Amino acid sequence: MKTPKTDAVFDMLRRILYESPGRKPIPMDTAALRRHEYISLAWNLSRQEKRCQQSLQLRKQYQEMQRSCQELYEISRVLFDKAMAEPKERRFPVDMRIPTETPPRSA
Amino acid sequence: MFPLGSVRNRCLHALSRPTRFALGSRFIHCGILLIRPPVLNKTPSPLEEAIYAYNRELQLQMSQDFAHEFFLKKGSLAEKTWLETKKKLQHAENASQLLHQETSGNSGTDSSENNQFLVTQPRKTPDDLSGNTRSVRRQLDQSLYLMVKKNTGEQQWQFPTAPVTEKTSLHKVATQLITSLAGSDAPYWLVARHPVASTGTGDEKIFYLRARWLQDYADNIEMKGVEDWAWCTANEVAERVSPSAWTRLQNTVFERV
Repeated sequence: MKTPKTDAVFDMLRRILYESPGRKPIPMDTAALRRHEYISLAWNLSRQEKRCQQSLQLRKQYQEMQRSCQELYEISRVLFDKAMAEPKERRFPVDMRIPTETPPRSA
Repeated sequence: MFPLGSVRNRCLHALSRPTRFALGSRFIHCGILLIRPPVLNKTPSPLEEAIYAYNRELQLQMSQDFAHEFFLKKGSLAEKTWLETKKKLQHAENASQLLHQETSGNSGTDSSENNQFLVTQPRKTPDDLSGNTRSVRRQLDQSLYLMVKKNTGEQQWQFPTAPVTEKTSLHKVATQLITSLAGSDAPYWLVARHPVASTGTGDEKIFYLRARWLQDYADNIEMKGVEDWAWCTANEVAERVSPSAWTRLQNTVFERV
């Protein structure tokens, strides 16, 4: 329902969204621009390194798991079958904590 | 997670010869990798810290002026506080750093009554400084693995193990191990029934099952039935475990898991 109050609200929202001053561009001279490029390169390289490390870790874990399951199969078929049988109800624990920036206060 | 079906199929395909030994001539143990997952995020490296600081500077240069007439009531205490902060930031050289400190709640120096709920705890705990390895509240940005020293004469650090026969199974022995160590209410989660690592050669084999410790910051639980226990980081595990075992375990034991 249109009232003078809602008109004022729409007007304010329109001004905020479409008529607010644009972001000023950062003035950069040649040296600053070069610095910025080097920093971006360094950041991309470090991210790539992290990604590679993470994928290597996962691959190692998976291969080790496969290898040990293979050994279990070769040693005892009975134990292997029992290990491979999935439990009927298998759920991720709800009370698992997510890592944060700082520890909780209640210690 | 990993499709267990495919692991089984690959094992079946790869088997080339029948098993030579009956189980009776081998000693199989079930070991537990009880992991307390990291409580905190990764500590950023010096390069990352520098890049974050640089990005903050750029953000400050790019940002629009805060419209305090719109958000803060004229003449109120909040407006006064904001205008003081604005003056301080204008004349400061490291304005973005100051702003970051204020907003992240790490400023313990001028903590007024308003800021008492924003003050955060330090990332290093007292147990970190004292080096108390029995406590779970240390090295909060890394995973900790439970290691024990058994009551027998041999003074060797190891993961908790117990013998397994074909009558029981690996996961049953594993759960019994954990409850005997930490009590029947132990807050743990056995991730899977199949092993994630194995050590030992020939007749003595240890298959490790992975479990997660769900209680990371409450009272430290005492482990029963062992002479000593320690929650170790990956580096500390490498120091305590034999070199032959470490060649296998280094593929499973990592800093953050």
